[in-house]
Amino acid sequence: MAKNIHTDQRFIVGLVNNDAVIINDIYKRCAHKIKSWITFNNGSEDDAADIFQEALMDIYRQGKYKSLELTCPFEPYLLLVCKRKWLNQIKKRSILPVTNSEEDLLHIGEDTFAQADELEDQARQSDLFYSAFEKLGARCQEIISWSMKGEAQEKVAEALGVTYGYLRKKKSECMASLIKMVQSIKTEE
Amino acid sequence: MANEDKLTNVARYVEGDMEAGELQAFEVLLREDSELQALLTEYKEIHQSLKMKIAPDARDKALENTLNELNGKYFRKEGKTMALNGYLKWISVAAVLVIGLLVWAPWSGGLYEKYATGREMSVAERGTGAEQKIEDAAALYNTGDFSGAAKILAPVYQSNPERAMVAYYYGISLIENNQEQEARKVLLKLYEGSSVFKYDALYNIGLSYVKEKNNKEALVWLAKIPADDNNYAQAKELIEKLK
Repeated sequence: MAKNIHTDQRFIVGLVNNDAVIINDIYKRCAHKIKSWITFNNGSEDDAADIFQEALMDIYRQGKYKSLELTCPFEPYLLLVCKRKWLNQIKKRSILPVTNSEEDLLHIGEDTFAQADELEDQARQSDLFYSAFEKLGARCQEIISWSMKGEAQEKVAEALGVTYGYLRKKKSECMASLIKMVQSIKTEE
Repeated sequence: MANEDKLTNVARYVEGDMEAGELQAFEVLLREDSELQALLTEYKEIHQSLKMKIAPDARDKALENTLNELNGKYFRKEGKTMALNGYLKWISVAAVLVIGLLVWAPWSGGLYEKYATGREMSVAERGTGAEQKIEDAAALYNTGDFSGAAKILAPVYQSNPERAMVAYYYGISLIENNQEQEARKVLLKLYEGSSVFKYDALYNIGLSYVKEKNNKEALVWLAKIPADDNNYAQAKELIEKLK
């Protein structure tokens, strides 16, 4: 059965296109809710601002690179993503939440939970890939970073003081080591 | 082919490191080998996720700028408060009341003062260099020292006129310093752009004419504010009073 895309998909499109009017609308609808929820749960207004921005960037990436299709309303989805992010943060900082999270989330539909789960999984995966990247040797990290930044290979070779042929070969090797590293971290987990 | 060889070949394939003949042979193999297909999907997924993290493109950065600006608008940065003791505290309270009365100036009945917006400059971004200057300007701005704020903001604006948040508060500071014409140049550029301050700039262009008692021009500009904008209700009310 085809997915029923919610009309609120326009918010995802707005984020992907950096549409100031739509993004302003998101802030107008949701910023104060997150602000009061996080400050009520022992966070500061700066924490709320950071969490809100981080959640919107995650959703944007999901929309831009993974063609996120929203099947639930946007507002509860964003609020749930922010709340989970904050609950994770306070766990790390050993702060006790005030809100009983179960009770607080009673009125949210199953779809919203599923989509928030998906976003969380993606963010976790992305962290895992990054930790694999950090385990590579310094040279490989350098080569992968340069090439991902879209610099011309000739320029990168010159900057690293190697020949063009060596760089091409080394880049493939480094990427293969990265994938191997990801696979081994996944097996360890 | 062993897993390791497969991995190396997938990497060479994606990175464009295969010669024509080798490439053709690999593509034939790829069509038949589901393990190879899965590896290719995994490779692309990892490549893309990592690229987002270590090499954000111009569009990613542009969105981040928009969010930074909106964060400044919707979340107030928490400032440090200074503890004051004894009578000093009461003197401060009295001074704040006097300043408040002067700013509010109920006896003047000025529509400009009544309808002025953006009276708190929030700086969401934290940093050094230009950011530090902006924070200094915000501190002056928030105490009503618009002339001091404008002096700091002028070079920051000149060096990067595209930075909407700076342009907006610089524009308002100029209006407050009775440099309405100069202010309108800054705000008009902002209005013509597509930042989140677009209609805030428009509203303030209208207000700058109110301040100069040029109601006719004020009405022209205020009427341009679209109905779904934050400033609409206030602009509508002001329009009624100007008519």
